[in-house]
Amino acid sequence: VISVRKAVALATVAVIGIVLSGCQAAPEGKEGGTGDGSIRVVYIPKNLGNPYFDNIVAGFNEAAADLDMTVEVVGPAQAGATDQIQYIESAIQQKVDAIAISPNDNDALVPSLQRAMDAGITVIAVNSDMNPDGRQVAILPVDFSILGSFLIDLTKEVTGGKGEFAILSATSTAPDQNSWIEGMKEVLAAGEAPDLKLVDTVYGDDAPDKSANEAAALLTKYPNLSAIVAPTTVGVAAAAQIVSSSPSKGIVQVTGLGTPNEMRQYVKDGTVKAFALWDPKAEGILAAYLIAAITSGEIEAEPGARFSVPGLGDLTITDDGQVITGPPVTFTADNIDNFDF
Amino acid sequence: MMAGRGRASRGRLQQLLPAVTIFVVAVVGGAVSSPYFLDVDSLLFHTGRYVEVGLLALALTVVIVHGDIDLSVASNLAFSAAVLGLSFQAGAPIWVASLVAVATGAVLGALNGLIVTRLGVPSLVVTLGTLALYRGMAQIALGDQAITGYPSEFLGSDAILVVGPVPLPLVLLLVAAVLFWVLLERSTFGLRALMIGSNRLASRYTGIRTDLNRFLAFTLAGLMAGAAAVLVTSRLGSTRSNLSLGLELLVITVVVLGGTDIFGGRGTIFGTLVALFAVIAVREALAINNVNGQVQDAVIGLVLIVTVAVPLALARHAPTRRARATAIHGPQAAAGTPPIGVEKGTQ
Repeated sequence: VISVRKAVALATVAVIGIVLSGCQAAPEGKEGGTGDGSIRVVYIPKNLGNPYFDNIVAGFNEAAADLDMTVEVVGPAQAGATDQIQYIESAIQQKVDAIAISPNDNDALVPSLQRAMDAGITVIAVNSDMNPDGRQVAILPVDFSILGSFLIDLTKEVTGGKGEFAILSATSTAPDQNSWIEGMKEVLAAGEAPDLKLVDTVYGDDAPDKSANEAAALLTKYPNLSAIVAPTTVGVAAAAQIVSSSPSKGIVQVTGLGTPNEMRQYVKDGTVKAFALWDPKAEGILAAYLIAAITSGEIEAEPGARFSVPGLGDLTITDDGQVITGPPVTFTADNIDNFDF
Repeated sequence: MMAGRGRASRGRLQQLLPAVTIFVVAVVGGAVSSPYFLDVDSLLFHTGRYVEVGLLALALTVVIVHGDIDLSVASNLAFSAAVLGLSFQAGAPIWVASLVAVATGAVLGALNGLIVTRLGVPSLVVTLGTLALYRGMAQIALGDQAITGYPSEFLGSDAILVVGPVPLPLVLLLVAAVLFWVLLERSTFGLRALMIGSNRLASRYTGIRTDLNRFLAFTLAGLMAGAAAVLVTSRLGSTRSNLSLGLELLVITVVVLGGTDIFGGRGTIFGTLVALFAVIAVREALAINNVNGQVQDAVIGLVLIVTVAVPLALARHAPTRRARATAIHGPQAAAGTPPIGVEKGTQ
C-alpha cells in the first residue's frame, strides 16, 4: 500500500521538479530574457503562439540590447479577459521596473495594473489601448481611428467596390477589433461605399481551427459573398487557407490585417490581392525606448512629452496618453517580397 | 474499534499525500527558483484570485461524493454574474443585484438537480449540456458588451485585509470550508451522501431519499457559483460573458487531487482545501518564474493524471488483493468490507 503511494509521490515530485528546473532555462531559448540589463521589463502579450506578438517581442529584444534592459515575455494560453491577471500580479511580486501589456480587456485588468502603478512600476499598453486608469501610456501601431475607413477602402480595392462581405474577427470582446468593426460600420452608414453590404460578423477567437471553421461556414451561408475581411492576422490567414482550397478561390476575396510571411503563399497563388498591416516590430522597439525614457526620468509619462526612437524619429504622447507608431502598410504581389515578418 | 479507526485515519493521510507532496514541492521549488516567491503578503493576497475555484471545489466535493458531477459550475458563474450586471444596470441597488445573482446561481443548480433526479439522466450528460447552455445564456444576455461602473464600495473586496495580511476572500473561503466540513462530515446529510455515492441502489433500499440528497447537492453547487459570481465581480469591476471560461477543469482537478473518489462514496473537505492550496502553489511558483500559460495548463493536467491514474495503474501490478482494493476502493474496502461500486450507475 505504502509503496503505491510512495510511487505516486515520487512521480509527482519528478514532474514538478522537471518543470521547475526547465522553466529557468526555457524563456532564454525562445522569447525574451535578453541581456542582463538594469531595467527589468515584463511584456505580457494577448496570448502566446501568435506570430504578430512574436514580432513585437523581436522589436523589444532588438532595442533591449542597446538599452541596458532585460525583457521577459510571459503570457496566457488563451486570450480570455482575465487570463493575464496572474502575470501582472506575478510581475508586481517580482518588483520589475515596467510592465508592458497588450490588454485583452478594457476594464478587468485595471485593479491589478493600478496596484502595479501604486508599487512604482511603469505600466504601458502596447498595440491596443484600454481604460486609461489602468496604464500610463498606450502605444498604438497606427492611428486606429482611421482604420475602419482604411479597411473599407481596402475592401473596395479588392472587390471593385461592390458586393456582399463578411467580417471574421478575433474574440467578441477584443477592444481593438470591436472599435475597427464599429469604424467600418460608420463608414458604410455614411454611404461612402454604397454598393458594399456587410452581411455578417463572426468570431474565430484568434484560434486557427475555429477561424477556419467560421470562414468555411461563411462560404456556405452566403453564396453571393464577394469578400471576407479579417482584421486579425490569425483570422485572415485561416480564411485565405480555406478559400485557396475551395471553389470560391478567385471569386471570394480575402483581405484584412495579416503578416507578410503568413500570407505570402496566398498572394502568390492568387487568393489574396491585397492586405495590410503595420510593422509590429516597430511597436516593440518603440515600447522599449519609451520605457527606458520614463524609467530613467528623461520624460514624464504625460501628454505632450517628446522623445526620439532610432528609425522612427521624434514622437509625442498625445492628449489621450497615446503614442502612434506610424501609418499602415498595404502588401500586394508587387511589394510583399520586400518584407520578412 | 481502535484498530479500525487507526487504519481509517492512516488511509485518510494516504489520500492527502499527493496534494501535500505537490504543495511542499511547489513551495520549495518556488522558493529555490525565485528570490521573490516567499513573500507571505503577496502569496496570501494571490489566494484571493482563487476564491471562486475554492468555493466551487468545496461544493463540487459534495456533488462528487454523491457519485454525480457538475460540469456547469463555471458557466453558471458567468450567467449569474451577467444577471448581477444587468440588474445593476437596470437600476437595482448593488446588494439587491448581488442577492439576485446568488439566487440565480441556486436556481440554475436546482435545474441541474431536477433534470438529473426527475428524468434520471446521468449528471455528466445533463451538466455537459448546461455547461454550454448557461454559457450561451450569458453570451446572449451580454452580447459583446462589458458591464462596468459598479459603485466603489462594492469593488475591491479582495483587497480588504481582515487580520494582518489575510485578505477577505481567504477568510470567506475558510468559513465556507468549515460549513462544508460540518455538512459533509458531521451531518446526516453528509452521511447519506457518502452512502449514496458508495451504493445508490442499496441506499435507496434502506429508505434514504437519494434524489432529495442529490438535488440539494446540485442546488448548493449552484448557490456557490452565484456567490462566487459576486466575489469575482467585486474583484474585477467588470462583467463579460467569457468570465471564468474553462474554470470547471481546474475545479474538478482540485477535488480529485484532494482524494475525493471521482466515482463517489469517498471524499473530504480538508482534502479539497489542501489540494486547492497545492494547485495555487504550483501555479504561483510557475508564474513567478515567468512560465507561460500553456506550460502551466500542461503541468496541472499532468498532476491530475499522475494523481488519479498512477495508483490505478500500479494496482494492476500490485502483488496482493488488498493493495489492489486499497488503490481502487480506498482503505475501508481493503479492511474487509466487500468491494463496492458494482451497482453504480444502474440507477
